[in-house]
Amino acid sequence: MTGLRRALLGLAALALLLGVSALLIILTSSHTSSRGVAAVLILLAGWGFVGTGLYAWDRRPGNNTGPLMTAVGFTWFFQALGSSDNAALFTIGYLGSSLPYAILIQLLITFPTGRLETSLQKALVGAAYFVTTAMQVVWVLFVDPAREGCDGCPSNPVQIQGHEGFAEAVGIVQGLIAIPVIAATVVVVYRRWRRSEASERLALTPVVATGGLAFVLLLTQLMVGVLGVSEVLEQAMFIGGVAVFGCLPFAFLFGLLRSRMGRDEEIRTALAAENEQLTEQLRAKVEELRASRARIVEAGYAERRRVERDLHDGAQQRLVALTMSLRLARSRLEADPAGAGQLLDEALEELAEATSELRELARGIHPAVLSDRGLAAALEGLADRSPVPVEVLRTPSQRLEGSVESAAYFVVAEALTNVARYARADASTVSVSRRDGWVEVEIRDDGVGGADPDQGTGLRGLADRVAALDGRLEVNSPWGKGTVVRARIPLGG
Amino acid sequence: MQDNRPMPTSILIVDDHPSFRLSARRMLEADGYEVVGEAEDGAAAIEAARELRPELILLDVQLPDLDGFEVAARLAADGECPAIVLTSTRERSDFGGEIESSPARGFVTKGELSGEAIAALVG
Repeated sequence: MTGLRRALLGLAALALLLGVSALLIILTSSHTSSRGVAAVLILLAGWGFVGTGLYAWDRRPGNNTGPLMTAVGFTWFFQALGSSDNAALFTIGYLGSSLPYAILIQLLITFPTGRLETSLQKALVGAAYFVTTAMQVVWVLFVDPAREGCDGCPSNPVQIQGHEGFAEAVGIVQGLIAIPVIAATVVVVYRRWRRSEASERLALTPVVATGGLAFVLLLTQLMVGVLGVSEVLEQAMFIGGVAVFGCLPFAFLFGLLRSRMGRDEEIRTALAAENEQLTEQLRAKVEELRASRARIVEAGYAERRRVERDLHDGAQQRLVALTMSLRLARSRLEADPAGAGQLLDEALEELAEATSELRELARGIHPAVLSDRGLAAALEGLADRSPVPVEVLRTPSQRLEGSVESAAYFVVAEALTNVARYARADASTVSVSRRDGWVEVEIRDDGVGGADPDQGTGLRGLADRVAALDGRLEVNSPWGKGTVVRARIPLGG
Repeated sequence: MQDNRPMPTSILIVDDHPSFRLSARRMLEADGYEVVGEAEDGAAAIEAARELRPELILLDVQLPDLDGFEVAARLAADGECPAIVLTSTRERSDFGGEIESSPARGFVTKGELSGEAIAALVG
């Protein structure tokens, strides 16, 4: 489980606890009328916002909408404290009860990206927070719950006595700021909805409809309250607003999940994950290439050392012996013609051996027959020289690129050398075929198997040589069941 | 006919290639040396030198175990060291200053090997 998901589950548990506490506070309240309705409204909106917010947060971790919805839900539980008979809790409820509306304004204005963009948006959200926090604190310092028409409410322990009228004035100012902020928010959201493209409007509509209705109801309630028209109407507007408000989180979630921007983000997240995976694969590939390149360079050095050693131990020694034999023969020419003749015969043998060894060596560096007459002739030559009988089953009818022919040739040469050295095979077959832009080289024997490409440098060097052409080398060599060496090399262009 | 000739110089041939040892033996014997033994690596060379006590050793530089310089150094450390002539298919310059700093009397490439060439080096 990710750290985020653990944190979200923790928040869910906290919301559950707060909800239950809120329920207890409301149901045991001595001054709350219609406690059942109040409890349902509080829990519906509180749990609704937290639940949908956490879900949205989990689905779109990079989007602020989820956290904002969750914050609305949590702060909504402040409302329940207004039912508390405990003076301190009751006053805290006063302090926080309007905060969810400010968060909601931010949520509405920034939906569905969760980002504040224009200065108007910032000003509206700033004003909303100012009214619901700083001004609320001032209001709480002067408010007398009894004067607010709350019979049986606890008294305000932080109230500064003697300025009762000041709270009402602050409340009116709050209302006077809140009304245009709410109205402007409605206008901003409505205009965005109007201007949105069809697909985005599809996403915004549930939020605009639900939120718009809730705000209209709450705005009306505020206006009725400020104008003091009718307490019953004010209460009805409040309950209606809260009820619609309770549906709002689901509207947000619905809108967010089907919003194109959300989907874009999901696609971005998926792309980012895929990108990361590709980067990882690329990194591994680069590492593999680096290692392979180092092995190819080392193989080049090793090959040069081998050629030097072969020359030194082979042809060079024979030529030295030949020189000495000739010199000896010359010194004996007059005194011992027969002995000189024998030395000359031996010299000729040495010369033939040296010539043969040089030819082998040259073929190991690059087989002339391959460039002159092509793969088929070169493979027949390899087959002829192999001590184990080799049948060449198939070769391409046309010439291939030089690098591909060369790689194919050396795969066969090395594989046949291994067959002769280690396989204890009675027979082997060679097949080179061209198929769908690839050349497939296969060498099969009926020997003892057990060849391991990771052991020894021969097969490993071949694998690198094939990999350098973007090809692959496979060795299948179960014990007792022979060996199949198979190389697939792509044909360029 | 041979009465006035000095005793032939005894020589040990050290090389890992049998074909070279055979050619060298024939040539040196033809040039009046007595080939008292052959060795195919450094360890065998040191053992043969101590046992056979040749006057001269024709010592290949590249041996499968110790190289010729190491063999020469170890034999020199013994005290009574026979004269050593290093040989190789390579040129003198391929060994930097190692030949000069070794206790060997000199160096001759295999292609130029002869009894005379050895005699010139050991005087």
